[in-house]
Order: sequence, then C-alpha cells, then structure tokens
Amino acid sequence: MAYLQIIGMNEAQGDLLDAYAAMAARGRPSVYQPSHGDAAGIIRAHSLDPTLLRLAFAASGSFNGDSLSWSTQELVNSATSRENECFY
Amino acid sequence: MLGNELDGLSPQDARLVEFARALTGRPWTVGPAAVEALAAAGLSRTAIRQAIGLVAMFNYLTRVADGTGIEADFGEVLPTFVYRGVKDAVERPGLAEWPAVDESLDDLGLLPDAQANWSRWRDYVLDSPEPITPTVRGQLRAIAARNACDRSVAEPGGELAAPLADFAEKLSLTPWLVDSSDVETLRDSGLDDRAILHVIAVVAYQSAESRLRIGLSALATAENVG
Repeated sequence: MAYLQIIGMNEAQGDLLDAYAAMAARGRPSVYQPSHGDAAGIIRAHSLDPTLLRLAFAASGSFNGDSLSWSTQELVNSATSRENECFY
Repeated sequence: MLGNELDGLSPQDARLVEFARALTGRPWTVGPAAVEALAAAGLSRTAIRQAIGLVAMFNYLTRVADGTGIEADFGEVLPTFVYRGVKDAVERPGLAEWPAVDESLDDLGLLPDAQANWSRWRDYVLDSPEPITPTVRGQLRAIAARNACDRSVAEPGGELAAPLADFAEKLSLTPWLVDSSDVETLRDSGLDDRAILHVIAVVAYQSAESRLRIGLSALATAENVG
C-alpha cells in the first residue's frame, strides 16, 4: 500500500481525469500498460497534483528521442533504477 | 536487466550501463573522460545527451516511487526485483573533488522540446508558493544538490526543520531506504499528503537536475565526440 493518498483513474475528476486521459493518449507501446487497467503507479504517484503530473512527464517524454533505440533507452533506465535499488 | 553483470552486452551498451551507474551513484566521478568513453564506443553527441537526460529523469522517477511507496505494476511479467541489502550511499568526497558544473542548461535546447519542458517543470517544482514555501523548496533543493556533489546550488540561509531535513537527506542519498514511517513523521510535523508530495518532488527533481548538469557539463568539455 502506498505511503501517500493515491487517486486512481476510477476516482479521478476534473484536472486529474484530464491529466490521466492525456497520459493515456501518448501512444506508448502496449507493454507499458499495466494489466490492472489503471494508470501506471509512477503516474498515479503524482495524483495529488495534476499539474506536477503533466509537467514531470512532459519533461520525461523529451528524452524518448530516436538517437537511442527503445531497448537501449530501457537499458539505461533499468541500470539507473538498479543503481538506486529501485524496482521501477 | 536487473543484474549486475555486463557480460553479454555489446561494448556500447556496457559503456552506457557503466555511465548510468556512475552518474547515478557516484556523480562526482562523471567528467569528460566518462563521456569520451561513450563516444569511443560509437555514441553520437545527441545520443549521449539523450542518455544523460534519461539517467537524470530516472533519478527523479525512482525517488518519487520510493518516496510515495507505490507498488510495482508489472510483477506478472518481470523478474522479481531482488534488493541487495545496501544500507549506505557511497561516501561523498569533499568540495574540492566536485566536478565543474555549467549553470546553464542551454545544451538541452539541442533536444526538441526538452529545454522548454524542463524549464516549465523546474519553475513549478522550485517556485510554487504552496503547498510548501519557496524558502523550504530552496532548502530541500540544497540538500539534494549537496548529496549529488553539485556545486552550482548555493546553500540558502535559514535552518530547515529536522523532519524535512532528515527526509531530504534520506531520499536524496538512499532513496531505497525510505519507508512509511518516514512519511508518517512528515505528517506528524503538520504536512498533508499534497505537501509531502511536493517535498518528494523537490528533492527528486534536484537529484535529477544535478545529474543533468554534471552530465551535460562533462559533455560540453569532452573531446572527440561526434
């Protein structure tokens, strides 16, 4: 169970619901869609502040360019998470 | 890729993994030589810039994950994550060993939309008047920057309340050790959950920005990078 209040898609309203819709419309590979059907945990972690959610993931998306293959990007991401002892 | 071994990786991928580990866990060691190793493995300047951005972002995202306590989404398809029982961060060196850091982020402008998106995010995280004050944001930021050996952020005046300072130290240095009791301590100090999210966001953001600056500064001064 998360340490902070988390608002999922089913409970979301207003700005948060719009933010979730925008995130879902990003056109990411289907492998990134969790089987539980809600937004990914790292997105829901920002649910108490939809503006923060949008801005953080806009910045994040800026680094998904074509200079590195998708698999290489995930390798870099995974190595970073591993170094931080994080499952994410 | 959750293991420690570089065996089986291409030379280019192995250098990227080494770079990501260094910029994450020992950022003061990342200088021109680290970037030149990537270039020697065949990576372009743009690819290296992208890699630096990815490492920075995942230093934000992992801290948000650890600070908020979210659970893994993909347990049914990914190997079980095995914690290695690491209790301490690598000891930071003195100021004299911290790398030179370019205070601008102009180099980000060479990635489409990156500079504008980063600036908007930065302004919101560091300058919002609520739910925590800009003064507190500055104090949290300074702790995270110091723990990344980023000399570009000056220590602000004033003293941060112990629960906030302790949390910032832990989230910036050893984010994997943050647990529910740390968040409860912040609640007991009077913060609501949205304020705690902003505390997490500031520390996580600066942990990312410091690594971005160190990486881009190394790229700017590296030689033989195409």
